[in-house]
Amino acid sequence: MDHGAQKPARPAEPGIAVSRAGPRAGWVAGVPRWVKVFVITTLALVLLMVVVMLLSGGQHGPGRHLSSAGFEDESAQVTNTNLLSSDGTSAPSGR
Amino acid sequence: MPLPLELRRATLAAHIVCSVGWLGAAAAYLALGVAAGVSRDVQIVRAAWIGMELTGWFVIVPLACFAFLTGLVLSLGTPWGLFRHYWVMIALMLTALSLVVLLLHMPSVSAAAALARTADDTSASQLGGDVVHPAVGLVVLVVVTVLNVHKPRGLTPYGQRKQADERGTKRRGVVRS
Repeated sequence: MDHGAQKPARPAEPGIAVSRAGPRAGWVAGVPRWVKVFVITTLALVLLMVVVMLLSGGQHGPGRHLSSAGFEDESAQVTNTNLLSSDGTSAPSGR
Repeated sequence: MPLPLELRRATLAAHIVCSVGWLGAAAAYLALGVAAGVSRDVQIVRAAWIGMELTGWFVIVPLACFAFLTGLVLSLGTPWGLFRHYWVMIALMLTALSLVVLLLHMPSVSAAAALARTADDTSASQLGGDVVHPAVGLVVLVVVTVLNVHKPRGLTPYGQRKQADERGTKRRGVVRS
């Protein structure tokens, strides 16, 4: 929000001073077209991301490559992986 | 409440530094995330995740918080306001959304980094990367930057009411004098 970089000549109507169409061109009666385009594009992208997320099983974070134990059980996984040898077999328990 | 000029300049400088820094740190994080995802060298995967955790908590999160706070101060302390212009409102919402997603995402990065530190090579090599979050975040930050530079026109209904009120006040002042 870089508001102060360019102080508007008339703060409530930025852009009017440089408008070729005259001062009234700064007034936008309804929602400006760029806002409509922006909102529609954003909604479409969000919808697309939700669909992709659902199709990929809902996992999109760093834990998506981990086992089904879930990323929340990371500490348990760490303990378990430390008990496994590099070929995946259980390490001797000492009993 | 309007900010004094010097304070406004200082806040603006801080805001630019934090915002641009956030963008650069997010790009660095993306590079680490891609490296963790594509590398077959488990040492690189481990190092990348540890780097992502450190970059995230100690660079990206503080810069994001300060960028958001300085943006709020600039909005409220200048004639731009917080809800008068569509571009300010959208930039605020995108920044707030990015900050919330970042804060929600970082604990899972820490968990992955902890795993990268302690897990054996087989498990560590399965960590993969983190590309989606930083990539989407970068796009959002670029959009916010473009909005800040371009400042597309358009007053919200609230901004139009405020402007009409201010004009009315000025006219009444002229008639009285």
